[in-house]
Amino acid sequence: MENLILNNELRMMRDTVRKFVQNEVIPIEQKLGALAAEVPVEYIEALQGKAKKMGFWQMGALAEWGGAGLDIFSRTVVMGEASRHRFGLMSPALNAFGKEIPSTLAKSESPLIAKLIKPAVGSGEGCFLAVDGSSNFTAKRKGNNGWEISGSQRFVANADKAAVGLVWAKIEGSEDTGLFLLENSNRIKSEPVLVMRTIRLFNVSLEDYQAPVNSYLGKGKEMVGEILQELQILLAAGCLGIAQEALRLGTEYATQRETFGKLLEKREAIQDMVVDSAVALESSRLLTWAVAKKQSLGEASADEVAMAKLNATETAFRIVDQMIQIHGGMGITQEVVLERWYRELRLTRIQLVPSEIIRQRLALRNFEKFHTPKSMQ
Amino acid sequence: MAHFNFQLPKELEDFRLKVREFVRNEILPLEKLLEPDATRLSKEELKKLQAKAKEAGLWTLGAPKKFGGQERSIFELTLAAEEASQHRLGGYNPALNAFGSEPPNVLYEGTESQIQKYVIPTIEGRTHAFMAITEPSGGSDPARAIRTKAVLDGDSWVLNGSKTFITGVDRAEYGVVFARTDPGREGITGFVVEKGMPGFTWKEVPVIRPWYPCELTFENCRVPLDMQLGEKNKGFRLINKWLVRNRIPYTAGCIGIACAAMRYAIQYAQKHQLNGVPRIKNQSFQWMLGDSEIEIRAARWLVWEAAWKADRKEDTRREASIAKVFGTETANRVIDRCIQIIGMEALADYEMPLGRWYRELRIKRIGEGPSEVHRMVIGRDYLPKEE
Repeated sequence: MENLILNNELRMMRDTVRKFVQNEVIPIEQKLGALAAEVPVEYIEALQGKAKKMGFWQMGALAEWGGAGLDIFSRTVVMGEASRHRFGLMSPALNAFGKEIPSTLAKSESPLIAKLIKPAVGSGEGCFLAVDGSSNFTAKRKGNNGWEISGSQRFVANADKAAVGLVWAKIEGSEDTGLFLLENSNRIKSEPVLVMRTIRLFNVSLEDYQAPVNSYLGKGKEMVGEILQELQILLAAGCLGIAQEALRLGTEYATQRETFGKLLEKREAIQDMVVDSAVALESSRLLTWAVAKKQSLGEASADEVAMAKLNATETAFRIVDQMIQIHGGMGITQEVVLERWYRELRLTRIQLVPSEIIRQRLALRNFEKFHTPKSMQ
Repeated sequence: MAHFNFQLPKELEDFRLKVREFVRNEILPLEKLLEPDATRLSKEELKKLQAKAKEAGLWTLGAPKKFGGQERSIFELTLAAEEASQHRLGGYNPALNAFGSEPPNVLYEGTESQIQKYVIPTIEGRTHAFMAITEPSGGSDPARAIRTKAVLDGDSWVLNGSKTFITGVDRAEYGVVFARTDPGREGITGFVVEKGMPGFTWKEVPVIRPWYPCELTFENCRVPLDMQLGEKNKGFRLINKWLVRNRIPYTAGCIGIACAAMRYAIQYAQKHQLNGVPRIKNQSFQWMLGDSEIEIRAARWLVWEAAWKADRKEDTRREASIAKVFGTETANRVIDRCIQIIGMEALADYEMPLGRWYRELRIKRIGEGPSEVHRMVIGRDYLPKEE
């Protein structure tokens, strides 16, 4: 199926990333052992050196920023492979390609983009996003002196290391909101919040933060909407990469494990779990790819993207759950990676846009079609 | 019909409330001082807590009276289990062990010296035990999976093999281990082993829950003859005795956690909005809560039915399996929904216990026999008799 959809170039890229993960990333994880909490920075730097030589650096960042400038469909295919390892959901390919920077930023005309984003792309430390749900910050314009921004947001990823941050703020004295680009420094307070035992997120807060005039990138709602579209597609792809790996582990285990005198693979209920997972995975990947392709042509709607995110996060979760069940007691050990993914994937159904919000929005569109237009009432 | 109703008799209701109040008044405040992934109280704190439990008449609820316990019925233990789990550490350390711990029930059939050496001190809270059945080759099918060998050599048995996923070894002083003394189902024998015996080592197995189970290794571990438990080759019956008795309160504990999670979700949903609307008014969330309420009640009735039958000494294998599958799967669905209702805040380890419960409850669909094995136990009853 994949080969029908991917052109030669993408197939080659997919295979290259797959090999990179298998030959470069997984051996590091194996060496560190299943209980390692994180990967030492020297390993990551070595990986990044190798990736850069291959031209795999900052997949989404524009070429003029120093990135690979791939479109979102190509990035989706890459992400589906880069996530297929222990730390893959949180750090695809162990950040060998650098942490993502939203390509949507290219739409802003602010000169700050060139100033801050280029070094951020170079460092590979990416960008934190305080843009979830609603604008939790307020920005006050101080004439020509810039902006004063205050507010806080919980559960922000990468706020400790990111080179820059994006903050969605209400503009005081106006109905509008704005998206602001800030250089990450100790002027931004980020307190760690431990989630699901191993995930470190941050409570980001700004108190009368003085930002230059050009930190305003554009209208908040529109830009945040576009950034969330990009991130949802990548999250969907990452989840499906994890699901694929989980399915591989569960299927392999079923061919080896015997209970009550019979291999698990011979048990119909186990066959159902494997086959239903495979069908769900394939369907979800096709949906995600189709939406990513549309997005790369600038044609995907927010609803279509959200549909893919909803489906991929829930599908991946169910698959990992089933594969744990096939593994029995081994499935909940830290030695087998499934328990980690079971914890990490639980976040994805809430992250970016929670499943319920997606369902509400999709419902609205579905019903709308049958409403009598106001002009006809 | 007059003799049948849906109300607990007053003495049972009182007992249930007593456990509930103990958890709310004594356990919850203590837990606030613990780290989110703590597995137990300090020895000093536990001693103080156990003294309070003794005073409240809540000490070793299940152990036989002749050994100093209260010999409560399985039904009563089930009621207690549903209440005792309703706190952060409750999934694997109900009431923080305030009510003391029993020795594995198989030891009640032990010799007089075994009773004096192990049973009594355990019931008195001076020592703790573990129970070791599962091996790397499997846990659901002990008749086939037990490969640890015990060979008679002079005046002792020599054990070789390994056990895994054994809970409580870290805090125990001794345990009961089942080993193969002959081929087949009728070739398993139980032994008491003590930590520190030459040839017996153990290490933790890191898993999804905070309290790690252990892997045990026996390398020419010599066990004196008087530490054999019951008759040779009669271990399988003992294993079943243990499994069936534990399965029912095990499930009740999961239902208790589901109830506690519901309270968090309802409280949060009443106070917080999603998309500008109080979460509690969101119909998706209302249905999640509604479904959870329905399933919790159904699960509780199934558990109660199994417990009631067990107390009547009826064969409860089927009922225990039915309750176990439905109860543990319900608890998993409920915790999942409660997390969704609350959102990310539910998963912050220092804020709420739901993330921890989510991790612990995931094991409950596998521990004490995975859902698949129980479904098989239920389903195979429909096979024609001659098969």
